[in-house]
Amino acid sequence: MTNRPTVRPPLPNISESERKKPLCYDPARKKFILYDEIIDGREPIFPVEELSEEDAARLVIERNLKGPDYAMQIMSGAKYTRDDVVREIGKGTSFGRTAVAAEQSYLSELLHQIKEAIGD
Amino acid sequence: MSDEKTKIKNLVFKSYALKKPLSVAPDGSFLNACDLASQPSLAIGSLHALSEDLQIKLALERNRMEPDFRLGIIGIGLISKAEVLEHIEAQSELGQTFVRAEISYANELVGALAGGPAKKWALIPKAKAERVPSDWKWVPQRWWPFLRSWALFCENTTDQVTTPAAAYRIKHVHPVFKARGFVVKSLDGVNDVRVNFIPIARMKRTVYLSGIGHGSPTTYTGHMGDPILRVGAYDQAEVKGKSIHFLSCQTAKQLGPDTVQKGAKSYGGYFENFTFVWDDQNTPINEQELFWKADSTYDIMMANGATSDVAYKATIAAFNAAMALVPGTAAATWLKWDRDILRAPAINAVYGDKAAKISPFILLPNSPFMEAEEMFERFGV
Repeated sequence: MTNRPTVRPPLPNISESERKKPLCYDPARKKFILYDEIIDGREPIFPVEELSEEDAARLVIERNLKGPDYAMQIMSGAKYTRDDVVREIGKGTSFGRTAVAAEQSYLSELLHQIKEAIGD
Repeated sequence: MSDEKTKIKNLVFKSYALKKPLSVAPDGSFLNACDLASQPSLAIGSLHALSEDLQIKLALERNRMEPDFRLGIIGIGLISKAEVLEHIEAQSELGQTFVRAEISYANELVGALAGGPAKKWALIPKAKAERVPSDWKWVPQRWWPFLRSWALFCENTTDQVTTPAAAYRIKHVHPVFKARGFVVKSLDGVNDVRVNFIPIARMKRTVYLSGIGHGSPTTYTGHMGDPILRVGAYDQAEVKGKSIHFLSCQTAKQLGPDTVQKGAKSYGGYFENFTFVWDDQNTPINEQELFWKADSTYDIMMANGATSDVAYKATIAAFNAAMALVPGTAAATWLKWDRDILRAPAINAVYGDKAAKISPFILLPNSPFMEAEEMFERFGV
């Protein structure tokens, strides 16, 4: 029998500007964790799905503030810039809560992908 | 110096180039082309994902292993190998440029050795005209155009939010249906209204309903909010026996299941608000188009004869591939959101039959002319 090497999926190709956005958050140290810190092994992955509502909102706001500007649109609704999204999250509006849930859900999948790639 | 060359995959390396590191292993050791070719799992997704320190380390080592060279830079002059190394070590402005250039090139090379990105768009077969069914042989050829199935599209082109998606769909989706042999009926502009929808939708030869428009749990709308289909306000003949897909907000909540209860074969649509990110002109990718491309995979797969189940799975794969093109971005977040709110028979039987498919030909009974004539009469031929 031959020993096959473990085939790991590649790491997501995150651009320079997007790498400034934290991927997870350590509530104990109140520390935002970056992609580079995770793949270098300097920081572990903190599951985003275990964050409290407040900490999840904190993480999503930080991601928005650190990332490039963008404009998003609900097909049958309003248009939001990055600053609008931050404001909506801060106010705890229905859209703000949706934005946090969407980002949290995406991050959960992205972190899972990174975890598989680095074989953690 | 030896001129010996080695071929790895389709790339030919000089002997010294073969020894130059291309990437860094998790334990910090360098990996060359042979290592990566023999064990592709060692390749990380992108060298740009490495920390700055590792990028510098890699660029330095690659330059060190290069035979002596001189670079000519317009406006600066000649720079020796030793000077290049000094600039990189000092991280001067020029040194940073050298690192970026080196990492960028090595990244392409690693990609070529690893065999490309992991996630790909679902393979969608090129649209070819479907062959005429065998039971059509007795039908005179001049009748064939009247025996085609119709696909009815309601595209809202008069609203600034829906127009980009409508334009994409008209350019990329409608032609696939035409190529497959469907008769394409497109209601757009001020014609995208219920009064125009009813007579075409009621025809039995219309087998597919689709489009982009504003929506709510109960209603799919057209030009200026005109309700094309609203729960409790349409005749079952408008949906019976048809497959449906709307790019619209929330219609999978009530309208979708309602059409299936009234006899639609399948319904694919969105349960919550479909949300997209406008294109950022500063990036090489058109973010907005990723959303249209992923969604329209459903229509294109159905046109190509896939079941609603296969069309749904291909659409999910398309969303995943789109996310992989823009990881970590707001676009990726909302692509995932849309992926997760897509509903179809694969998710729940309230959206119809997973095996539902459409054909560009009206299937005739392989039978005496009397029956066929009755059928023609019903179709108004």
